[in-house]
Amino acid sequence: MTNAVQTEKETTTFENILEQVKIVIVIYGIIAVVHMVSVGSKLTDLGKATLVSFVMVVVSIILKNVVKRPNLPGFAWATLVSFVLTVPVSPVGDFIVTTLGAYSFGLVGIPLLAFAGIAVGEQLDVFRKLSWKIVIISFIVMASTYFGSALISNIVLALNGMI
Amino acid sequence: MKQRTGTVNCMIAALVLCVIAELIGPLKFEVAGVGVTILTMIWVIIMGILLSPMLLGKIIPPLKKFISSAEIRRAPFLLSLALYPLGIMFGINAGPQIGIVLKAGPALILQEAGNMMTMLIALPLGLLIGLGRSAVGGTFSLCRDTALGIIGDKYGLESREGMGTLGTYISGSIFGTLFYSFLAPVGLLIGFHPYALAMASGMGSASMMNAATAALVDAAPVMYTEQIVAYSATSGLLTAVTGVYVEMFLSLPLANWYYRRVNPAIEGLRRKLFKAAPDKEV
Repeated sequence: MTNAVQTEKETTTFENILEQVKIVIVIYGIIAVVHMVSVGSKLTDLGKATLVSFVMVVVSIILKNVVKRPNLPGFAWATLVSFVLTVPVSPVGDFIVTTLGAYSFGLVGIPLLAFAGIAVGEQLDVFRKLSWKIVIISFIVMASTYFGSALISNIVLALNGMI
Repeated sequence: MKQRTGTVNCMIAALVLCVIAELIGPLKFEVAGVGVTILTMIWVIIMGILLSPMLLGKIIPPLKKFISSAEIRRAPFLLSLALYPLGIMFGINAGPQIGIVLKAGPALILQEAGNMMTMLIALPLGLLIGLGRSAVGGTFSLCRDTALGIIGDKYGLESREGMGTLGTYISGSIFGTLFYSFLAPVGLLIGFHPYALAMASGMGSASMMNAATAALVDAAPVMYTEQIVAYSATSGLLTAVTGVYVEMFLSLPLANWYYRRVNPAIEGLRRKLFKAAPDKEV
């Protein structure tokens, strides 16, 4: 009995991973097209970069779906996986960094902003019910964390003579 | 027949928006002698928001069918997946520079305390304009998903505190990426070092962090680019790992303590200024 439940749970996790991987493939398609339109990248270079990046993303998606403690966001897993694989002692580090050189940092981050924009649609309705007061406060909140952190960093970096 | 999940239309929309934005390209102009750049990514966000059934959908009915509530509900999930390839880009910029990152360790760790400064000005000001307990929920952190969980758990999202958190959450979702892409160049103008601003970029939301970092890379001299991305990546990673604990065990108790300290004085001031009690509604 326990066994049956276990297998069922495993298939759903597996199905989740599979669905997410399928979607990620399409997202890579968008990223590739954007690169071709914007900087006219060569298809072979883009293909290699996409393949290497994709393999790391699949690893990250599996980690995200399997490891529940600590429960990190997928983005953090992806950063962690590529971080570890590219530290100077890593044998594949140079290869990964050179191959992914075909990708432009700004262009990889562009598709997600489209989704972020579309996702706002649902919140516009709730937003109209919000008071202007909390909107003003939220802007101060956003600016405070940013400049607060920047102030601390600036002071500590200066004290350490790093800037 | 498969149920419509919204994935396909979202993907088509994203592709079209990105290509249009790339064709428009960045817009540079001067306002009173200060150079202003509207990055390509800003076009994408603005166009994405405009696609909403409540905006352009009202004027162009077919659009309402193309981007319906199914698509809008699907978008956050697709966003979370689009973050993976970006995370890889952040990681490969930090990994090879681990030596420099470790050397900057003290600054990177100490700046995490800056994430608790959200309440410093915002909480007393919120009380002054009559938000009451909502000011605690709305200012104890940047109010991303983890904060919704914490406040929902402790007070319930229908409470005054919950309404505040939800308010900052929604406002941040709508304006966050736009706001941070403008704030990064402003930070440089104020005189912050690009590295300091890079470290400040990991504030608990990956898309806001991306906007702040991309805008900073664009505005700062090219020689800083690699290290900006490396510091930003590490700071984002640190916040992702520690964020929820800091919010639960430090920020929220601190906000409540701060509220108790400043509220009586501000209430007194309010009574003098407006002759009014705090709002019943948010």
